[in-house]
Amino acid sequence: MLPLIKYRYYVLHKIKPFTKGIKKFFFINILLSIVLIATEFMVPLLYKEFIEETIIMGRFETFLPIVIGYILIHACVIGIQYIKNYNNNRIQNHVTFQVKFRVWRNLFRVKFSEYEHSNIGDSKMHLEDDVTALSNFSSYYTIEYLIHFVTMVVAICVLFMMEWRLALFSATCIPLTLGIDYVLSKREMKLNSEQRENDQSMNTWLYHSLKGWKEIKALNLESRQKLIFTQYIKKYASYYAKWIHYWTLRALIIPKIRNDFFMKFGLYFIGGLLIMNNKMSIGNLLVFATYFELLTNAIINVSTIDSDLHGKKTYIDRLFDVLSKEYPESEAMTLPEITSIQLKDVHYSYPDQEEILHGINLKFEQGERVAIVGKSGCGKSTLLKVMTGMLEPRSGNIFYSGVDLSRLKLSSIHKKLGFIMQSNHLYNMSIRENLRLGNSKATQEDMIEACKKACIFDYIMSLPDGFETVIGEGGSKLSGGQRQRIILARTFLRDVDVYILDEVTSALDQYSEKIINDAIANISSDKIVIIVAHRESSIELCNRVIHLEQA
Amino acid sequence: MKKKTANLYVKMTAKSPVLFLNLICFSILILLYLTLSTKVDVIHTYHVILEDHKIIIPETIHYRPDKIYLYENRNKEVNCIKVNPNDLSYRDNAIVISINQDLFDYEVTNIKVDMPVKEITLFERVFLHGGKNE
Amino acid sequence: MNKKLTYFSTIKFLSKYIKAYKINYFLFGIGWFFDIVLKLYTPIMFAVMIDEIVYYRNISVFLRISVAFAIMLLFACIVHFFTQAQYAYLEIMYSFDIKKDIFHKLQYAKADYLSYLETGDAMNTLQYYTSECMNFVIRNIIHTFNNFLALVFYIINIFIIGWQFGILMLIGVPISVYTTTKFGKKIRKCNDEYNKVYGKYSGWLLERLSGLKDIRMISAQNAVGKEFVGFHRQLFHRKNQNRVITISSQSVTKTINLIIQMAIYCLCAYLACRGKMTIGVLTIVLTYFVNVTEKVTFFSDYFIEAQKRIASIQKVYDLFHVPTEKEWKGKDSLKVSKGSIQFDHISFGYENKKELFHDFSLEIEGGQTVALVGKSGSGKTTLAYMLTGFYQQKKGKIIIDGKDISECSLKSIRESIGIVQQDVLVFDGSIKDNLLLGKKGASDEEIKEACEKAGLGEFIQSLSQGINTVIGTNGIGLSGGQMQRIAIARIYLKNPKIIIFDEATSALDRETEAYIHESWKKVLAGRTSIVIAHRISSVMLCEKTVLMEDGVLYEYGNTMELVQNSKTMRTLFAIS
Repeated sequence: MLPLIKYRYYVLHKIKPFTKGIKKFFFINILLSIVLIATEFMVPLLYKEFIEETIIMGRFETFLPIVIGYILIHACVIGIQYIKNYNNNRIQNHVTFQVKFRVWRNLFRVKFSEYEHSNIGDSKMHLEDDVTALSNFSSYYTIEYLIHFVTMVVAICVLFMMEWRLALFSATCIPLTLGIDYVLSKREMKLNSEQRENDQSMNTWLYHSLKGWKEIKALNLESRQKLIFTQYIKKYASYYAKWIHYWTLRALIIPKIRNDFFMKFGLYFIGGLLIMNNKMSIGNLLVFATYFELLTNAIINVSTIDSDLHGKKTYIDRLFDVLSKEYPESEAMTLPEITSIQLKDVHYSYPDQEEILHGINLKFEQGERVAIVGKSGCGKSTLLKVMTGMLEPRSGNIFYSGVDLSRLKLSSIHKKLGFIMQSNHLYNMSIRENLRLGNSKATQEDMIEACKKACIFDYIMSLPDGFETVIGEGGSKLSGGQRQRIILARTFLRDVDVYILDEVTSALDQYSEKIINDAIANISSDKIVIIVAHRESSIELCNRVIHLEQA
Repeated sequence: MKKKTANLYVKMTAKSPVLFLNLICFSILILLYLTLSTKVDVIHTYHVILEDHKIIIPETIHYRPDKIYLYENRNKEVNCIKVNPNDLSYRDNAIVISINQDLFDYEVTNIKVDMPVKEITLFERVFLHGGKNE
Repeated sequence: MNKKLTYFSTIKFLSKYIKAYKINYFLFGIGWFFDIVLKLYTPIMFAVMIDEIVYYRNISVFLRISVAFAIMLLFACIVHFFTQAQYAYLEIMYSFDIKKDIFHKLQYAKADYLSYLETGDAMNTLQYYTSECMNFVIRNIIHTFNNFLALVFYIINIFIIGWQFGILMLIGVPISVYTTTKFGKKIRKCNDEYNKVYGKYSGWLLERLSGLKDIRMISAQNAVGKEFVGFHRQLFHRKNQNRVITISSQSVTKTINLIIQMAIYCLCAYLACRGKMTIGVLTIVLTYFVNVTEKVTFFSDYFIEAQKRIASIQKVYDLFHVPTEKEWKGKDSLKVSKGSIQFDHISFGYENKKELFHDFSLEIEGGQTVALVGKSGSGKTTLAYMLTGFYQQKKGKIIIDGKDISECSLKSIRESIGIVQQDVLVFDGSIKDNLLLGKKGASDEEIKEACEKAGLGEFIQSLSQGINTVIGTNGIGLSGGQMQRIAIARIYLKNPKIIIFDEATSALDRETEAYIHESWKKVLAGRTSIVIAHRISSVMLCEKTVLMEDGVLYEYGNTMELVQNSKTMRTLFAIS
């Protein structure tokens, strides 16, 4: 337990920067919790009064104050719960949002090359699961834990003060049951992890068996499948038979023994003997029993919260890892306009692979329309990525409007650059929203003009919902050609200085290709246009051709 | 676990009803024996009048208890007084018990006595009377 | 459509399996019955024990009662142990029986059912919904019955203790349960709404996360950031609502419980001053109130559960009644030597759809390679797979080497026909294991030879463990082209006279395509091959071509001639 307390301090310290303005709520909650603990210890005393005065003595008039006592405590507790809840909401929402937003922001500040290695599942995990694990620190891991811990300590003291013999007896049964529980649950977990492997392999096998039905029928494999299925189930059966014994012991029998045997029978038996020897009164015995129950529950809660935290430790550490990465915005310059792009002796190779760009020297000026051709694999896409800052060259320089790229803010370059690839993203929103992603200040007229230039306006008007049509995930409701034109329209809307088009028509049919070429021709002549393609029709649009070859 | 023992185990616990039903019957029989053979007293509470060396209970009860409990406040002291059959006598509508002890501790009028009125088996008390003491 | 299950028809459906294990279910029921009875009387025994201590200090009686109490506890533990053993046995055997039968049905199901099958759904049904069949019997039949009995016993006992308590219980418990259920509904509704918003957020998040590069390239960080904030505002709002409702529900429940508790205390106090109440009885009453509330809540829970459960069992039921291939009547053995195929006046249509083939005839000589081409929906796939018995024609005959295949057993038909398709079936295991699927008991040499012929020779040599290398999710990944070669190697092992090549669209890039075509040419040689082709390059591999549209044979002839002369061919493949 001790290391986890240190860990809690560590986490709270790390969260501190995110807690502006809400620290007071946290402390109020702590105070209220102390009041709650006090009420918990008072209730059994009321019960004792009730038993001794009203029931045993048979005096009805003592009943009224007891009822009032109960009601008062109840009202107090409920009021406190509401206030705590409100405070907790404030704390949790605030901290969770701040942390999440920081993670989110960082996603956009990493080096471009890291996007190749990162994986959506991981990012989602950081953002959702890890932060959720952290959010429990607002109350569950801290305040609730504190309540149970303090209750535990106070209860032990009170029990020993009341009747040490009984307390000794009870004290022995707790570690005993906890110990057995621990051993059993470890065995259970081991069994579980073995079974998970078997489960996974059965799932995959089952999936293939159902999906590949054609070949299974064609190869007459049905009887073999039955055998394998039976084998998997038999394995599951042997695991289950073992597991159920552990589970029955742990979840049914041990609690029963603990609750009925120790807490009820044992306690009252020994307590009874004490009462018979006039060492204790029945009222005290009842109070003792209630405090003991309080103690047991507190211990269970403490160990549950601790093991939960232990399980989530990896998530939280991972989250702090992600948060600690700093991405200082350098004193880089911004560029208002791109008038030229120049590559000087640029070399690039992918990690652990041969060099793919050998000393490229190129210059692109305003008004030029350049086509880059070459066999697949000779480095056209790589060249574009290096040029636009997505990959860092091994050596050489890239100049935008005469300024070295390493001294410029990438985001300002990208603002003025329209990089259109085959795999651009459109989102499951309306056409209007997709268009305005690049430029949220665009007016309706701007949009119409951009669409006209991209030769997609007529199509949009032919749709029943027009600009409000939702286009499905990735624009799935549109054809390939239509998607490219919307992307082109979006780029027009952003008013960029450079248009880079990477194989935008390779997957399209002739008709769509023609429309796109028309749209490309609509790009105003004072921009830089770079096209990578291998179709004659695309190349014709350009006034300069660059051939790229392997060496 | 060896296969043979595993199979035997499954047979005893799950496949055949023999062991389970036997255990159930055995437990039920033991319980019945215990509860039927244990006798508990049914105890009623009465107000008493004290005279020196005599306790007068103003009720007609035809039972010879072998002990009574005298007290003022149940939570505090409860005196268990053994009664010899000789000490019991009946007056009109009352039972008189003579005792040797001095009763001058009990000057107060609000004295009660808990006296066994009959005996029932544990079985009856638990399963038929819902745990009540009557 | 299969009929919808109700509570009773579900029992009827499951009765076949229940009967096989009726002893176990009976024992299970008995076990829980005793558990309930013990739960009923243990508090009473305990109360008597307390009374004997508190009031009268009878040590001997006290000891005997304690022993009785201890025995009851032991009895309860034994019952638990055995009952759970029964449960495990049922889970393993009963569920297994059902799972086995469903899997069996799925493997033998008809082709058109399987092509529309949602794999995820089927897997869920097979793995999880089958255990609902057992849960149904246990919870909705046995437990419901036992709890009902228990409730009756409890009410009787409480009335024995005191009619006033009985009345109090009959009023108090329903109120308490009603409030809990009502709030339960509210909470569930709130949760559902939260989940809806969260689902949308999840979808949005995944979309954005998969296009982070893009978003930066179009400088849309701010716009997207605003969306992020907007979503979280909604989510937090709902979560807060959720929490408030939960706390309110808890508060109201606690208050009602407090009122009932005070009422009980009051009654006890009144009876105590009449001399009719002991501590023991007080504990019994308190315990019973809690237990009875629990039991009544169980009933309402079981009822809600029952609906959901029957819906799950419905899925099992539906899978049970899947159309299978057992209806195929042929029994003879098919012997193929030349591989000549004849479609003789075939009429066929899918269920509930209009007729696809009407009086369709086609003759293919043994050893020829034929390409089936046409737009999607023209029936080429259906036609080819009629040869393997996946679809059965309504009228007409399919004749292979002079024998009507509807008289032959499916097994023998499929032994003579091999298929290669786009999604190759690959199980987790070694390459050798996967190739053995083509021919059971093939020797290592045979396997290696087949790999050579399929063009995998070099690849396998480059692997340190050769054909024992593990492939699949835990092993090395194979490219699309390599997977196809595995399928081709299987063909070499199986060595059928007739092959069906089902080429799906795209997926292989141009370079791999050329290599693959080489392997195709080799494997197609000497066999009667039907190639369902989508690309002109695949069509060119075949001697003859069949052009189909809407189930009608448009053109049939030499591939070269058709390519040069047929207008339809040229438009279909955009040959200028």
